[in-house]
Amino acid sequence: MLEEVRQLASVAVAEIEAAQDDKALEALRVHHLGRKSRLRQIARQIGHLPAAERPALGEATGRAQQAIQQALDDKALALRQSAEVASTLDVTLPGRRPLLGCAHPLSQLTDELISIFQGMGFDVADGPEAEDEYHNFDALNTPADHPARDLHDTFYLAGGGLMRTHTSTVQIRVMEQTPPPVRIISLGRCYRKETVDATHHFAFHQIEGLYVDHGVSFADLKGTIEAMGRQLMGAETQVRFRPHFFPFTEPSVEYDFTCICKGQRANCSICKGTGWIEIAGAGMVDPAVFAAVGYDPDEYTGFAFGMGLERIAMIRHGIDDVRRFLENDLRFIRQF
Amino acid sequence: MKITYNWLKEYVDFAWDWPELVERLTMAGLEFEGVEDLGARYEGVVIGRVNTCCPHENADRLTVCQVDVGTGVNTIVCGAPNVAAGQTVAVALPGTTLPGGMQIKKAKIRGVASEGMLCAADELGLGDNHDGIVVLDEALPVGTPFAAATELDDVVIDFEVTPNRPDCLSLLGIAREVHALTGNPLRFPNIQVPESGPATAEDVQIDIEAPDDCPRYVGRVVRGVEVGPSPEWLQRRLQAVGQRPINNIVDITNYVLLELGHPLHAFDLHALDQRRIIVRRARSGETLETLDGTQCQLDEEMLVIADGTRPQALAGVMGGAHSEVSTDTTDILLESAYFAPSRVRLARSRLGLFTEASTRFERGADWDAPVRAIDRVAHLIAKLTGGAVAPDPLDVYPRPGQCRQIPLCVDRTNQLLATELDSAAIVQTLERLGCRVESGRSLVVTAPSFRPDLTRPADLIEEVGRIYGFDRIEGRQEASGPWITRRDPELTFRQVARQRLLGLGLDEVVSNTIVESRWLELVEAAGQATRLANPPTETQDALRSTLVPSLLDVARRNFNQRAAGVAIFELGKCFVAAAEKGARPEENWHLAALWSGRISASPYQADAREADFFDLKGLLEALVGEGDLRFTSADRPECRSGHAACVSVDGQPLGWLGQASTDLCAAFDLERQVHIFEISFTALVRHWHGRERSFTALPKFPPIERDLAIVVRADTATAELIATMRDSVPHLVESIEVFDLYQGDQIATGHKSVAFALRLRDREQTLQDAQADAAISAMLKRLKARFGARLR
Repeated sequence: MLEEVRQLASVAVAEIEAAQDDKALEALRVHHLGRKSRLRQIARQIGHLPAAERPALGEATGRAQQAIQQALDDKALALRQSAEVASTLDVTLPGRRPLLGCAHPLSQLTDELISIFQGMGFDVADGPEAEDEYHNFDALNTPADHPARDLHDTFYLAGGGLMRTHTSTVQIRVMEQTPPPVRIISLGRCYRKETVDATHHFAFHQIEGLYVDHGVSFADLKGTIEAMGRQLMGAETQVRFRPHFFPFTEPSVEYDFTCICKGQRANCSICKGTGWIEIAGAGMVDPAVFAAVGYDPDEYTGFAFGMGLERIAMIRHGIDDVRRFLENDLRFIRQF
Repeated sequence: MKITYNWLKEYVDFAWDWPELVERLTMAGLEFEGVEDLGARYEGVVIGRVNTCCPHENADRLTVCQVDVGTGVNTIVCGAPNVAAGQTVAVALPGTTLPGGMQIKKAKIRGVASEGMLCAADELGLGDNHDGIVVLDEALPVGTPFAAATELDDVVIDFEVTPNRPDCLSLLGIAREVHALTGNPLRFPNIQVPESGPATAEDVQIDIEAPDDCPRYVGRVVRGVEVGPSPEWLQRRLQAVGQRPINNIVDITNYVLLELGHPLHAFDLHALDQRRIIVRRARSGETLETLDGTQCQLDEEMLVIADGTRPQALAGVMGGAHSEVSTDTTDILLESAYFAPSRVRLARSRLGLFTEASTRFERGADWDAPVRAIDRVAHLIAKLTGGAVAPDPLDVYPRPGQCRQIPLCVDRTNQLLATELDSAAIVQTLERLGCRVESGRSLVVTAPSFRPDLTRPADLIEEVGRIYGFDRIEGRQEASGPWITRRDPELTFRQVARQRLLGLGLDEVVSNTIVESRWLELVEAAGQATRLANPPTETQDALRSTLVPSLLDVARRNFNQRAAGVAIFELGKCFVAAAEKGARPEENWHLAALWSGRISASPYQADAREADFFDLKGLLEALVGEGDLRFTSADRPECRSGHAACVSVDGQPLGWLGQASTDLCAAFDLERQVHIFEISFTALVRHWHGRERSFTALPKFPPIERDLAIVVRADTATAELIATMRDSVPHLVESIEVFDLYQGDQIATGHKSVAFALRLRDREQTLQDAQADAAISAMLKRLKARFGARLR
């Protein structure tokens, strides 16, 4: 029987090698390794043989099965390979592309700013867009007949209250709720009654930052704004601080970033050749603001800053018209 | 505030050219608005001398002149009647473009070649005079540029002045900034007044009935003035900074306003009834015609300057037409007062009259300036018009101003600014800005009367910082301790939701929160809308309470641009009017998605059909992820009947999903099927936040898979069939998926065949075929009992 087993194996291997396709191969597998195959019959008989013969025959049938299986696998692979050679794809046909949505450029910038400031230890706070006079003006050292109220033309609600004109309201709301130290940013929509044109919209987005603690100085404000500028606009960005006026900071500054043209183009459309792009306002928190929220202005100092998101996005992407952001033309959104 | 470079130099010396002046002042807080180089307008115009003049052979009115222009002698044909040999004139050489736009070329005029033009005043942009050419001072050197020779090579610089700095709305104020930066001495204008004639009180009586509104009123009489045009230099200066010359008296008051920053007014003395000035509140019903011809309806909250009978000026805003100085005027009363900012602000905002005067008074004028300012005007009038200034001006001063004393700690200053300034440097800066400083253990600073913005130490620290230069302070980037940011779960989930939807192929939009209330009516959400009292446009007058109309509008816009499909979402705030009057509206985060049109980017090989209910439903399921998400058929005003569902998760309401009704689509010009869902993001966050994320052991035993097709009535909810099957053998069902739905020939009318792929598994042991068979039988039995289902 030993000899028969060897014979079976060599016949099977030869037949397998001669097989022409997958179907023939499957028939050969059933014939040689199937339940009714001769090899299996022999294997089933091993138990009935004298004990001395069993190991040799067992080993032989095992090896034969292995050899046949190996031949089947090799042949299957060979058949697949030859089939592959026979076909050529037009690889230039389009793929079955799953759609991937595009985030709105303002959301992208929001995410980026959150990540930048979380990295510097700022929490993210949220506040209402429909506000009251107190949080939008009075608590920010802007009483009713203050000349600075002229700076904002405000939308008022029919039932009382107003739409916030800046995110500085969130400074007040956070400080009312939290004892110092605080270190927060807040992002969101603001409203001013502007005539809509290529550079103005009555609805726009701002980021607000606030840091209050013992010994916070103007140098901390500068360091923070510089760090933001470099992460947002590139490592070589320089920041310039010009004195300005805001009722809720003292000293107040406006800050400029170096233009992406590096001041090299006299006709640069962004900086008009000055080399500086006006970005936004900042300053040291006015003692009157601390008084409004019950912080001790002798014990704590702090800085605050704001920035318009549309302006940054327009500069970064070369967008020509602020109205694009709320129009939501998908051909616009998909560019970023 | 417009100034000119040369004018500023009258008050302080500085070695800067104009760009450097602008740079220095910008870095001290005056924002540069624009510049106009007056000299550049005269490029190509030079001083010339008319050597000879001969009549033109072919024209009666023309003269042929030989004009020395420095580089040679040009033949110039001139039409002016006043041209004569020996005159010094302004010559526009060929190639010049004059301020009025006229271009000068070499030309033959009636047969004579003319090389240039002799200019008249209007051609040089110096007024309207076209009677003849400008004849200049003989001493001017021939050949020099006209602008330099006549001091017209000036530069007008426009600065934006922040509302806290009324003092910088003047030449002297800006000069003081230069003084603070350089230490170069300030030169104050001459206020010497030659007085003559009877005392002022002989001619006029001044009473203040409202001393809180008008703490100070100074009057001066000038007799025998000759009203006429101002001298040219004065007109030119006013024109350079954008003011129209009127007559010498008015021009001088305007000039002093610009110079010192203090508004002044001149009345025709004889137009004042009883020669009285009464500063009082207007009476209800009184009117005033102001200088600009406006008829103002006055009320009791407005302050007026009245004579014996009626208002003659709106205090601090504008004078009245009745007592206006005209060419018939001989005697005038000058007014120099201090009015309370809030009173001026109220009147000008009610009447909409923004004037140079109101701008300064409402920001806070200098209560110490009235006498200096009126004397400066009197000085100039005496010098330029030759009137007699009456002695003893009246200074009615019922509420004397007080300078504020402010303590300032040097250490505190250095700490806040991150500087290391010594006391002397701080004192020097503050003194140059006009403060008086007493040095002691801490400084005591007396703020000048012209700086109403300096009231507290912080205000002084700002002054020190800005004059020192904020740019010289080094930025610091070190944290004073470990900071732990608190991650707001809602913020994290907002980012998760957006990333999921983007990954699922939806574009993100950000739309306007202020919408048309008509839009809210369309989805029957107008009832809870918050209205604006002063909306941006007549129709856009409400805060959105739903994102749906906004998304429909975005879809319209994009289909108009021939988009094949629109798949968008917005995660944004919506507003619900508060029930309580005066309370802030409730603000909630909503998440809405809209899908309409072709569902794939490329029609080739891909599914090129139009998006339907189940596309969007699947998307919502994918977004929400795990959890018991239930859809219940519902009627919604914005949806097509029978094509909408309420959505809940874990038994809590989440939102809705459906096909927009035909009416709603038509309102937004949408022709295709539009499917929308809108959910409460707060509810989704609650669900996500509450979700347990604990590990379940992976199954050790193999499952058995079976297919089961049943026939039920067509209106049977598939979700209920699945629930029933699960309930029949709860511990064995791993999953049940619908894989086929059939209605047609082989099925009785009003019925449908639903085929399920079941996966059964026993987590404790290997499931046997017999157990699976029994489970299927149990399911069928229940299905039959509840729904009359039968095996297909």
